Amino acid sequence: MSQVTPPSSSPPAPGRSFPPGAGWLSVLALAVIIVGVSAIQVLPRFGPASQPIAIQGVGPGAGGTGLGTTALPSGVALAPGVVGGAAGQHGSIAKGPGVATGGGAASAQSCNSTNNGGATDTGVTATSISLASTIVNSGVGQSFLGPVQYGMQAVVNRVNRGGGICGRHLNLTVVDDGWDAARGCSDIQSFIHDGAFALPVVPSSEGLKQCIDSGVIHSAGIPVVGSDGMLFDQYQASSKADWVWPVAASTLSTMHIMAIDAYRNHNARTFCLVYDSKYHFGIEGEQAFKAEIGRLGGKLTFEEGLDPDVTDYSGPVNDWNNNCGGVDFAGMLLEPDEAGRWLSDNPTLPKGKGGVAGAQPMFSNSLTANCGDICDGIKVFTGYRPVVDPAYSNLPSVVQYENDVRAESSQADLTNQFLEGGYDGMLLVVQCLKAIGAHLTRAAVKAYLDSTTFAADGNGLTQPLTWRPGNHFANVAMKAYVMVANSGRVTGYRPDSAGFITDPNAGADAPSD
Amino acid sequence: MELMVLILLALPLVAAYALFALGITVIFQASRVLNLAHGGMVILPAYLTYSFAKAGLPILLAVLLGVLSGALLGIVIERVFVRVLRKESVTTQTVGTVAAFGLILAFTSKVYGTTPLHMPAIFPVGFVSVGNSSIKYGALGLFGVMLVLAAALFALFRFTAIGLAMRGAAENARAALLMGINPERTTQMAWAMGGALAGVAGILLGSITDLEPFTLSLQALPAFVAVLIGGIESLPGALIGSIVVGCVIGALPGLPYVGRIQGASQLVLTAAALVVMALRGQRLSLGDMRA
Amino acid sequence: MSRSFSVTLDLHPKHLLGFAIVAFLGVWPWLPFAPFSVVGDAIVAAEYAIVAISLVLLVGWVGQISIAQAALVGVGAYTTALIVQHLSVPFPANLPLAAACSGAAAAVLGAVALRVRGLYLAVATLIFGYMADEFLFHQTWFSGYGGEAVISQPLIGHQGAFPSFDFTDRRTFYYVAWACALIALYAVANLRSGKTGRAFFAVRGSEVAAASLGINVTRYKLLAFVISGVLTGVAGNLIMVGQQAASSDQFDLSVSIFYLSIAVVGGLTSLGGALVASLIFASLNEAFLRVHALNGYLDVTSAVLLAVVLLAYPGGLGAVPAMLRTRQRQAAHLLDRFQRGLRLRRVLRRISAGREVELAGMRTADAPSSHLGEPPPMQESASAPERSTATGPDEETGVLSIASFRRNRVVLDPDRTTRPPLIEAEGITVRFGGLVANDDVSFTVCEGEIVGLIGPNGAGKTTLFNAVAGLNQPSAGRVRLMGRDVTDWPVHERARLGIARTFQAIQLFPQLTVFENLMVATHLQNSTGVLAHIVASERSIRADLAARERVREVLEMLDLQALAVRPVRGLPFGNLRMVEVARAIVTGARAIMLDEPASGLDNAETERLADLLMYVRGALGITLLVIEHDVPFVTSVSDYMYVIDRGRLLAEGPPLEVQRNEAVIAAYLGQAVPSSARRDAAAGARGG
Repeated sequence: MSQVTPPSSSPPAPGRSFPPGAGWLSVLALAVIIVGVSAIQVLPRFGPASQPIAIQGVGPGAGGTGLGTTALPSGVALAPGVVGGAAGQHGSIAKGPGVATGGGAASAQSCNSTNNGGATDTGVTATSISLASTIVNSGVGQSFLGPVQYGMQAVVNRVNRGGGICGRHLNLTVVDDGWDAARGCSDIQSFIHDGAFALPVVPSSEGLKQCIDSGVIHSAGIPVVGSDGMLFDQYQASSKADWVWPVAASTLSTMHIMAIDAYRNHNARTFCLVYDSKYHFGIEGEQAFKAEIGRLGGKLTFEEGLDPDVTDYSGPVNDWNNNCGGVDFAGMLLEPDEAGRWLSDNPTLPKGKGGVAGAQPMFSNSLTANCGDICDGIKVFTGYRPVVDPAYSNLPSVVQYENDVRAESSQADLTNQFLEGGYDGMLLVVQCLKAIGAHLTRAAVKAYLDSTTFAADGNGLTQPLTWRPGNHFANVAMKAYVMVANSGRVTGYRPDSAGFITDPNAGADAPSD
Repeated sequence: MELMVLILLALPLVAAYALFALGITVIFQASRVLNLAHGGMVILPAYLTYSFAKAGLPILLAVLLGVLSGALLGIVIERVFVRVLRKESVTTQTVGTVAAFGLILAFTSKVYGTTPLHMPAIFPVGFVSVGNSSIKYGALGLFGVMLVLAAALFALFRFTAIGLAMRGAAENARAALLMGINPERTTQMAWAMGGALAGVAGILLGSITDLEPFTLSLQALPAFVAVLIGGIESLPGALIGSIVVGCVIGALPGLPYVGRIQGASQLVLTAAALVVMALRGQRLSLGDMRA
Repeated sequence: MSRSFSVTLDLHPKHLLGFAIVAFLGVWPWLPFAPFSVVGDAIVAAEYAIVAISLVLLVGWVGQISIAQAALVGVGAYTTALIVQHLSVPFPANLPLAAACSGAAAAVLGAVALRVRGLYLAVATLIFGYMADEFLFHQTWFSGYGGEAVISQPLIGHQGAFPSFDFTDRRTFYYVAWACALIALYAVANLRSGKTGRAFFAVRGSEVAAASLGINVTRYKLLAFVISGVLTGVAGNLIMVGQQAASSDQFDLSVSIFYLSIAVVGGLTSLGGALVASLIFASLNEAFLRVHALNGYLDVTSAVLLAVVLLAYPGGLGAVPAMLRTRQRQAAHLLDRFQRGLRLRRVLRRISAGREVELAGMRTADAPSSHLGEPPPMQESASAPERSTATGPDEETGVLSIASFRRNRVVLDPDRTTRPPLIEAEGITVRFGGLVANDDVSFTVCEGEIVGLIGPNGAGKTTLFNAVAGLNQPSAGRVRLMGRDVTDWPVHERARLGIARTFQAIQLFPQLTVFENLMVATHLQNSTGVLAHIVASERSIRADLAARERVREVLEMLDLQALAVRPVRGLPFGNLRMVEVARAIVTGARAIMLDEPASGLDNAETERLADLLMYVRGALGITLLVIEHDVPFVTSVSDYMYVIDRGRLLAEGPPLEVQRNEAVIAAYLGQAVPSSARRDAAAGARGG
């Protein structure tokens, strides 16, 4: 045993000179400070000046719909039970009151850096708009969230090449946070302090989640536009996320749609679900699925929770096989490699009647690259129009997506739904900024987004997305793609005939805190 | 009956943990160091085998090279981290293995990325039916290999001089020297064996699941629990511990109510470890004097 | 005797620089160009520092490897959330509560884990961390939905109005975090320089020796766990209050390993090093995440840094000051010699005298709790190698010659019953498996005696000794010390009765100096508690001074001052033996048991040892039990002797009688010896 430096208390000095001994008095002083500062906080005069966040009468985490009191404007065909409309048909969409689509058009025409009003809000100057976002460039999430920055950058570069918006160039600052919640939220707080105007996309969802849940976003009043994280926290428009406008379909909607599709389009009556029991998306999705089946009148025969850190699932698969042998439909709410491992352990899967479906994260090269024949016939839902669908090979929005991203990175995986979502989110940001025009303020952003419909012509990367105050479940339609495999490899996807399916219960089954 | 099926299905996990635990125990017996880098010794050979196979080598050759690289890795870790730190305390040596682990993990995830990779199959692809489910041939193969290696290890340690020499050299290097045994050589051999065992486990496990640096290296963790339960001094103990741990982790999630709770198997293992430790309580004894 | 604020006021330029730095550190977050994200990093660095300090204590000082620190931090963070949500206790009142919860968790962990030894402990903490990561931090009732807990922190006062205090404002929280870190640093540094710190080092150095000095080893290890647990609780609370949210990823195993790396890079035993390492790692985070080109290389870099520090600089950052001082000292000596040669000696000596004093002071004080200003009174000892004194170590061999003690011949009443028995062994039988090491052996040591216990090698002397000391459990028989039946008592309890011992294989504490080794022995005489040490109360400082006085007395008495500040490692064997005896004397024991004290000593040293023992008994009145196989030595000092052979008591009596006992001779020489040869042998033994 050895240490290089002998630790020392030894010099036989007659007394302590430095640091001085504190004695019990110091403990008393410390106790007084602690008790005093704490006690002060319970006095009304000094007490909490800021109320816990609760807007429009709906408290945080209230079980139930979380929809708030504002209903969707009429004219949008979202009656319950409607499924399988042909792609793109959505009825006429009336614009809600006060939408500034045309407003500002006059100033938009002659809008440039000399007459745009200069610094109209934090982060806005006559020549620039500062946007900031965290990205994932290192760590575990890097492989599927890393590429999103190319989608964001692609849009920004295209806009700036065109002279910016109203003479203002977009300054996008991105900072890696390793997908770490604490680091990410801290970075977001730095962005806010340093004067960013808005936060686009923010693919690093963990940090964003923490900032939303701890009230940072709400109290700062900074818009988070075009996020694609899918977790419920981004949709709490009645409370903490009133400044967040997601473009992605929520996990809740995904699971609702999955159940509805199986029940109505394939007459499935008995269901089984395998889900990730450790992470949020699995936990949220599981209860949404269960609830939707209940509403439909089906039966959830069995559900299996998987631990992502275990490599061998033979035990759970055995359990599954014992219980799910004769069910009509199996839902999978897993990450790609979890799904791959589970499938390779040979669970019995229903082949007919809608068979097996997976949630959006499974729409990924990392699953198809390793899956093999067992993936044949398994469908995955997505809220975007993917490039692998031959029907969209000429759709301008899809083509532009491909070209723009390819210009940024020759290797990015275009089928990565997070990438596509990030690109789409950025498009939303740009549309919003263009529509507002010269007098650019955060309040204007909020007013615009809360009254707009994005991709309204039905030819965007998603179905039309409509946000309203208190209800930010805009992307509520998803489409399924069936994996095709032979000779041991997945060769591609086939679009499911049902087309886009809309979730009539968007926002229902919010997780209870 | 159902329980029997579950236990059968847990065999590949038992086998993997057994190989890990045996490796950890061999290393401990020969050099008195708790090898926290074991997870690293699991993934690197597996990834190297993947690379060799990708480069076109026949799979069995790739596996052989992978195992050899595992042995080499063990020797390198011993040489670089453990030996240099021998003059420091045991704490520092253990931290040294932690540093080795961090290096291997960082290097592997940088070079190969965190997207799961698929290794070509070593055993024929297919299943054996067991009750309502099935075991992959690869999993059975893993178990078979484990049995063979465990038996070989036992024989080596019990019937040959090598095992005795290893343990003797660890207990008292000076005496071993006087008897003509080179303690450095025996330590090296032990680390090579440990590395090879870990490598075999990593390669076989990786071929029946997939290669991802963090998840795969995490698989070595329950082996430490196995080692605690079985006792780090004995090879049979390591096996017994692995059986317990493998059955709990493999079979518990399949049980009706308990299996629902996230982390239930880890809780059960911790409780088992607590019980073992409570039973093993010792008072201060002669063994605590510095040599 | 003003102790508290006698900070010397000579304003060295060094001090002014120090004040300037401190002032800057206090003010910079509010400066207009201070980057906001760096303030965040500074807070993170404070949190790292607190955890690193806890590791320095637990792993560095007490030697218990813990890979569960992040889990304990998590416990602190989540319990803070629970306290705020259910009990509505605001910060800072919830800080001590959360810290107590973590401390309790650590106590539970420690209580179980300490039942196993050494490396098992590391595995036990690993398992705890693993369990927390997979189970505890995903239970909604404990760590919130999905492992994420959120609190809302009210603002004190009204925003904008004065006074108002917003804990969520990073710049304000910076002060809070660093105040906590500095208080933690101060408290732990206080611990180190007192009785508790010495006990920690003793436990790490040699558990058996520590126990023999009355230190309850298990209790101190548990104490170390609890204190480090409390510290991690503080860090967890700061994390939760500062971020207002925490998620379970922050507390998994890889983070525990990360914390361990910080402590290692700081040099596991150094507090200052831990502080600096925390700053370095926090800056690494910033650098590698901010700078685009470096993204993704953080893990590799930290791993490489850890490896390099471990392999090349095992002392870590904590060893840097010592290295610098050595260089400085070397440079100063070179300079001195050069100047001597230039005959500028007189002038320069005046300048360098100040430096010499400092150097001498610094050579003996390596620690953050450095004692500025006053040089140690034993200055001559610090420069002993340059001058030779009568009692200084020999220039060549470094052997300190044992000053000759007057051989205090004390004449005792042959009737032993007039003296109270201090050590009694009755019918001790010790079995190891099938082997009977001691068979029904009894002996008594009465007050004021020197009793010798001899026997050939393998007779079972050491086994018997250890049975009396408490390291063996006899299968039959009783042991009585000072009249109390101690057969079932643990080792440290026996020491309380006033029994000390020495060890055949020297069990001193290698990382400490001779002085510090002796200071450990004052443990039982110091009745102050842990809390008193943490706050450095009046009483604890006084107790410390009294202990130092006592050690100084003993050193003087045995003429060992020259060795006082030298580290134990590297001293010649004879000196070590002396130090061990001195250590036993310092405890104030009434009786000392010596296990083969003459082993490893040459003839001259053995003579001196005999003189020493006589002196100890005669002048200090300490009773001695000496176990030996060197017959002439024992017979020359003992009043009464016992002979053991093959586990059985062969003979007893005054030395002369025992020497002539035929059975005894046969046992040693293996056969009966004719009387003339016996006489010669006896004469030879006496003269040797």
